[in-house]
Amino acid sequence: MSAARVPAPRPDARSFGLLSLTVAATLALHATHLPLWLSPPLALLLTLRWLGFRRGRRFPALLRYALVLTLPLGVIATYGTLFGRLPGAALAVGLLVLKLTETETRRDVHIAVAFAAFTLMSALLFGQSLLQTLLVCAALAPALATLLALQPSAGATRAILKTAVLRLAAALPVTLLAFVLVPRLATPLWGAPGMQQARTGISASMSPGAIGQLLVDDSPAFRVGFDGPIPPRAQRYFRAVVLWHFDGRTWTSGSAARHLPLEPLQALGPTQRYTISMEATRQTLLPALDMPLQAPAATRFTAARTLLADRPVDHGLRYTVSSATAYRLQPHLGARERALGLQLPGDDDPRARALALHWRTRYGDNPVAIIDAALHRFHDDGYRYTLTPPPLGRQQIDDFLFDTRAGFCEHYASAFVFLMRAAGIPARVVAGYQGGYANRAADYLLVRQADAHAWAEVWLRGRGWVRVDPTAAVRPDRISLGAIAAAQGAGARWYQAAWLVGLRDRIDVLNRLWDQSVVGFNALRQRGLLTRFGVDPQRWQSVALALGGALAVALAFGLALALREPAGERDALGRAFDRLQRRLTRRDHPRQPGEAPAHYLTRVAADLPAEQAAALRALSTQFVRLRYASTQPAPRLAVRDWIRRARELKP
Amino acid sequence: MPDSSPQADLASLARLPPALAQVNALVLGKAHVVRLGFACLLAGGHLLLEDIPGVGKTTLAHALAATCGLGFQRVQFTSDLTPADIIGVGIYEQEQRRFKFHPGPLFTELLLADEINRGTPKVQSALLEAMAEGQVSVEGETRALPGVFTVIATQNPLDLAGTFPLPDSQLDRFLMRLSLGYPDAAAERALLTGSERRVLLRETRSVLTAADLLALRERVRAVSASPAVLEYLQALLGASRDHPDIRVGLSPRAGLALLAAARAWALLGGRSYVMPEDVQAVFIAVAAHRLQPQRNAERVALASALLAEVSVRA
Amino acid sequence: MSLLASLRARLARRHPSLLRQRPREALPIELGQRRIYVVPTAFGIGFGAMLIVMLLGALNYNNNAALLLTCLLGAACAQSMYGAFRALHGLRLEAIRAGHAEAGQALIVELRFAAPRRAHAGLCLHVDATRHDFSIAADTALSLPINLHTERRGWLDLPALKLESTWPFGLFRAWSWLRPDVRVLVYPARETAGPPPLGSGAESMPAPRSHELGEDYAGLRAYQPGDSPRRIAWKASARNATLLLRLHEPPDAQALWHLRWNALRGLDPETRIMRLARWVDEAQRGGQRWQLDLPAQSLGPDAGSAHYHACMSALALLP
Repeated sequence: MSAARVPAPRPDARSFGLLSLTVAATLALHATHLPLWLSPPLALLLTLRWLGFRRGRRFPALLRYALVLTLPLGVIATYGTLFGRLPGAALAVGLLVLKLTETETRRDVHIAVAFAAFTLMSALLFGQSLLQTLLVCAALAPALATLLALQPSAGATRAILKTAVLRLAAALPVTLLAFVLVPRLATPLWGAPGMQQARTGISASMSPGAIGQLLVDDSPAFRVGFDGPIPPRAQRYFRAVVLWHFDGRTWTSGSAARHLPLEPLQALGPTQRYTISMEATRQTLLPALDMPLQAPAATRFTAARTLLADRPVDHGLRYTVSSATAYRLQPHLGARERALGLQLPGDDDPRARALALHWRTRYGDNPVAIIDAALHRFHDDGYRYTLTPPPLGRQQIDDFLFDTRAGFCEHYASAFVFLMRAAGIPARVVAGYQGGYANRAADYLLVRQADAHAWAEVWLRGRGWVRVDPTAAVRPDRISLGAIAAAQGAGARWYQAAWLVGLRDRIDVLNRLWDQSVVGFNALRQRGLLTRFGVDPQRWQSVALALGGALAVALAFGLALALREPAGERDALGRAFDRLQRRLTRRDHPRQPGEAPAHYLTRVAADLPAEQAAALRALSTQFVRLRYASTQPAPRLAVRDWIRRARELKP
Repeated sequence: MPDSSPQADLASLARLPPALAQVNALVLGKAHVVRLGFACLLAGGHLLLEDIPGVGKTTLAHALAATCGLGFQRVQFTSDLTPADIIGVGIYEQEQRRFKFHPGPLFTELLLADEINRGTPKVQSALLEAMAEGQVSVEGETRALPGVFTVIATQNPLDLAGTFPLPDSQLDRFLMRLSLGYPDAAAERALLTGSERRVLLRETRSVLTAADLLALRERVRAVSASPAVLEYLQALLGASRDHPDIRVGLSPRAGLALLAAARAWALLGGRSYVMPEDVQAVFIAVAAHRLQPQRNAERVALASALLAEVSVRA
Repeated sequence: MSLLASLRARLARRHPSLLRQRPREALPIELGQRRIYVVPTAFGIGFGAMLIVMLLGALNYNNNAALLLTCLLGAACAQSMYGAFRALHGLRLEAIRAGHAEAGQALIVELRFAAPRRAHAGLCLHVDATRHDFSIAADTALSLPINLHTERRGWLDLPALKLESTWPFGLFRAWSWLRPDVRVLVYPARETAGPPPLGSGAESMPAPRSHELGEDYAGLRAYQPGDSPRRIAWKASARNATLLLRLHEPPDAQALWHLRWNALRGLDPETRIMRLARWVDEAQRGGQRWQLDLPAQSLGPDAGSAHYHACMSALALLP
């Protein structure tokens, strides 16, 4: 643009300090998932570099080259690759800090700020909770302040930071508009996002300890808003997956179950309609209250009436289902189902089989009696509920049933179903969630990962599949209070104080709102919203028109704001006089340059009809008195009176 | 105006209009200049009358002096006038065997310095110093001048040969510079038909007294200037300093002078507060001779241009 | 090449303020919207590209939080366009005051910018090849001194001034060309050394007449009160029965330098001007009175700075 650019001056210590702050914030936001060997050295390097820059030192080039070479080697050593979410983030953060070591010109600062913004964004790939997003957005403030500090005669640091924050705040309306209107991609342009990402929540198999990990995870799994009242806790069983096949160690759905027909369902009472907002699980399993009647759009039923999403839930999902809480599921069991429901692995766990046979011979063909016997055993024979059970040997079921007698839901469900099958009663394990927490601040149910649960279903003639929860036999409060409370022993804790519960409720309401409105705003919901505003999302012309129109409006609005000039430091009287003058000017009575206000008004009065002339002269006299007769500001009442009379004048 | 002011003040205030009328009766058709001259006296400033001979400069000075009841001295400035000639000399008195100071014409209430530009720079600076200080030092002794001491100086702009124009730095000792200009036709007819001015002057009675004048000056100082007026005044000063055709703009002292003159003008208008109109009325008289134009620009024209350019914020 | 030239000509006609070719305009100049141009800077283009990458990434990973962040950053940066515009809009170039300089010296010109309504930050003025950074608080004015390079005497048109700003984030650059209709007078250069003027007393001429007080009086006049008693001509007074005063010739305390163009025959005009300029300067410094006779005009006799500037202006403007 200009040939007269001064040759690259060193950025001042302040802009470098702000840049260091930006990078430090970026580092902090990534610290949770960076490898341990990386974050502390980077923080140390950043601090040293900042101190060095303030003393005017340059970073040794050789050391920098060495570090630039070491970083990717370290990342490869840790992750085995440079590509992917975690190694990419580690590499980006490392390079960002190293960029600071060679930042010597304004251009370098520019590049570093841009790179920092990019790295900040990548922090959101590891979680898009409300808090995380707010923190990342807040970290944009020092980034923008860095750019401001590079401006000539930029002003005080405090003013710069204030300007940066104000700019971000002012950007919010356009941000929201753009967020709503930017077309979402139907299919990703590259990669298969979420492939290597850890799955959370209930999985399609149950191996020892799988649910145990979940039980200590306090993060939300999903939230349920009921159309009617929230059902009682004992009814809140959300089935996610039905496990048919046991290989002695692990329960899975089993491949054979995939081809079974949908089990018929007969509702015996009123139905519940509710909407579930799922957190991202990166799986297709969707929980539904026992027993769902229909599969909502973009989902399907398995044979055992659990819901499967068409695509993995990577970014949350909302769906509405109706369920019958009193029902009869599959009154007539087919041969295939019966075979699957009685499947047992090889000849493991002989003691358990012997016990089951003993019951069978004792109670004959009375399944209810056998079930009662099993539940009584759990209840009376020294079984206890614990999240940290002693390890089990190869004969899992036997070890649990006869030796350790300690475990949690998955142990009980697994052992119970094993016993049932050994006694000739078709049974299966159901994994899902039980209980949940009714938020008092808003009418919905919060279900955490810690509410993950496993129970059993047995098939009884004439009644179909009947839910039996063996854990309840051991520890009824597991069902009435929740897993953690059950494991720790119930009792009021400080964190259960009413105010804290209320606060947590409110924060969870915010999180739910965030998940529903931002994280879950997918192509489908965008389409729905656009349609409501008369935009046809199927026709690109319509979308382009909407986008272009919104952009034009935003541009025009911005221009109008930019052209708006404040009135300056005028008082009310001065502004009112200016208004009067503008009105008189429109009536062809402009003020001469250099003409005093009172002179102007009296001069114009001479050109007006008598009545208005008198009014204008009175205005002039009063103005002089208000403006000039005292060294103190004019009394407010008198000024207001003048303003009113000036407004009433019709020249 | 504060109500607690003494009766004497009110009386002197009431005598202002007749005083003005009397001077206007002597100097015909120059009401505006007369009013400005009066304002100059009220503001306690010295007056420079610059015009060709014969338009009534001396008459105006006389009329002002007589109307205000001031002791009056006149000094004709010539090239051989020495400072001692106006200040006075110490003369040795045989009987008392000591020097006695014989005060010069300076020790009066109103001094008419005729053709001040004919005096040498030495005399000029002696006079200007006395004007600035209100006192003189003679032979190591400081002597105060009368409280109302005022100088009305005249100079002839055309007659340049053998003159010593007042330096720019000393011109601003004069609060105002006025030009009378030719009288209009009606005034000229009245002049021609009326009695001779000198006779009229001799018959003139004083309307005010020196004490009145001092009281009125006190009043002028009490006239209030609101922030809006000060803002306008500052805008004028600032504009004079920024004007491309002005080499040296108005000094802070010029600003004070402008304010004092505007206050006097406001008092003459019967107000106890200054309006922008007052500043405008006295601006050319007060400011023009203090402007130092860039090249041969006309000072009065520059001052008028400033007035037209600087807007008065309401 | 010709295509480029014609394009440039069309551009200059349509948007005179885009390029330098803008008619000169009278002060004060207020920067209105029609004369301010905004384009992204190199950094702005790079940053925009990065924003697009961020946008595609966020869309690809279907990550709405990242998308929101990208939109926020983008919207904040888009304001930079208005920010740069607003940094200039409403600014007034109120006055230009030029100092005095001789040809070849740097001429200091003071530009007075005013911000009538609000503060303007991050401004940068380009004159010739130098840049001046400044900012103005609301409702104040600022005098910005700039150095102009001078080459020859006479009128010097102020060069076109480019006022620009990349406020606030350096992503967009707004600029406006200012061509104030102001010319400044450059005084002629003085010759460095040369002879003193004739009649200056500095050369080997007989000293001018000196007067003793009391001698050589030119006449008498009547005594007035206040006249010095020492100057009373007692003998003449006795003869005339009134007190008479001696009148002296005007004291010739200061010799008059007569600087004449025509006396410098045989030199080329520029050398004459340079020599006269040196004499005028010496006279001014020495507190002399002098008279300058030029072909078309005569200045003085006079002394003082006003006279000095009048003489130097006349010399500067000689054809």
